[in-house]
Amino acid sequence: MNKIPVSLNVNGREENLEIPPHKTLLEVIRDDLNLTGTKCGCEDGTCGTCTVLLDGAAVRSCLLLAAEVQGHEIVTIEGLADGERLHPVQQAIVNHGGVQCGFCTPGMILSAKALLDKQPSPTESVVRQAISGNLCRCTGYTKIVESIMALSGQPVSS
Amino acid sequence: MQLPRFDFLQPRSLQEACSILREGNGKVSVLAGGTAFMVALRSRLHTPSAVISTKALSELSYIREASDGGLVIGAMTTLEALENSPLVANGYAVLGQAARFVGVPPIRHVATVGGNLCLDTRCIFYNQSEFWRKARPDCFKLGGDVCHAIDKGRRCLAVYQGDLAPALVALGARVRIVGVSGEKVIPLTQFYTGNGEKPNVLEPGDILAEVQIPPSSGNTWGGYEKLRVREGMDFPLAGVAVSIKTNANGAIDQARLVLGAVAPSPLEVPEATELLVGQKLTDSLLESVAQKAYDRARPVANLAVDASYRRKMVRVLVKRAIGRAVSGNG
Repeated sequence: MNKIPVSLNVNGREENLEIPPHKTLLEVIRDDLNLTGTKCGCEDGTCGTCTVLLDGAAVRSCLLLAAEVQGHEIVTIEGLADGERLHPVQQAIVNHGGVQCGFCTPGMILSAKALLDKQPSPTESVVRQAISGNLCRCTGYTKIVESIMALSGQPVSS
Repeated sequence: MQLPRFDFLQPRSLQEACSILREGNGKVSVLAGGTAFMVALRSRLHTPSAVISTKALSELSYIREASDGGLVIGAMTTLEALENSPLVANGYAVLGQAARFVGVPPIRHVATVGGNLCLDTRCIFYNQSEFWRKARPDCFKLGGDVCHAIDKGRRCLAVYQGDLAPALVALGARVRIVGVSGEKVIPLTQFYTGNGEKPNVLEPGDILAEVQIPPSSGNTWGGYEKLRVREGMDFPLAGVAVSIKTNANGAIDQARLVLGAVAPSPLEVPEATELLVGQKLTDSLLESVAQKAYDRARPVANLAVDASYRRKMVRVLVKRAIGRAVSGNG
């Protein structure tokens, strides 16, 4: 199978890879870089569990070819914590019981981070829109929203 | 599931992209935002020998005022840029609303105007896995001679489910198509064929490069509404776009009403224009307009929701869209 050279910047590290051109960013992150925090769910853009940050914005890694994102900065869930110290969004999710089965958690946290980096004090409705692309099949949305709202400093409606 | 194998090409100019497409003669596909096309690739609805990624063609990403006072939008402009654009919000509200109704924020961050307009038509008997599709004879859209949606159906009625096109038709938009041997500008209405098998007029070597919208006057209002299973993200099961211009007396000078997701192409309702122009809006007039839209819409049983319900909802969505437009929320 023909392979092409692809250089990716993932979590601040330059990765020089030889990959088949039809490989998605999600497949490269999980299979080539062994960063399995990014989950593979529906593979059709519906569920959002494959969310990563592309130049700071939340995107679906299952809908991008790895070859398309050369020269851009990619951040996965593994890139958030500072050693043993969790990122504030991760810590908030822990403090407020925002995790149930955990499968949606990496995507939720990255969507929340993308929002809070742009808009540090969002209202609840803005938070709900920002995570509208992340499905939680445990339906634990209330606790997830509360976790993010704890960082926003804005009141929660209910 | 892995994507089918293909070569990856990244042309540096629009002309280079057109040449590659022409040489590929149908075996090479354009990958714009990819939010719909990657899914079609994964389910093997398309198995191109190569894809050309146009993400790096920054020359196609812009929203500008045109020399005639209208608006020009490059094909690689993202839907996120469209929904946040003050130029769009100021006079072309129906377009901003329609953009906001597409997918979810991470989808709109990469999905493009050109990609949305060039969306393939969809059907519950077509947008399925290869395994699922192999259990039945090929339908028209798959190259066969049968329709699974309509008993004894003679042609493909797969649905065009884009949100932007109805809004842009309501605004009277044209599209600039660039090919190997030159370019042409055609009304968006002529871009769509009405044939579910081949929904638009693009030939190998053609790329939709730009959308051009005529100037809008101060008193133009717009409204877009859509039916979908989930509020968060879904293709429209029915869509309604309306653009209304009023004069100083509050009477309607111009009006265009366009339906989406009830046919293989956006469907204009000229009867609505006839009813509305010269009138002031009343409840009974609104009711008559909604009825005309209902009469035009003939959805068939080829999406996830019952066709008669989609048709009934057209009536409701027309009233909501016009209400949204005239209330100034649009």
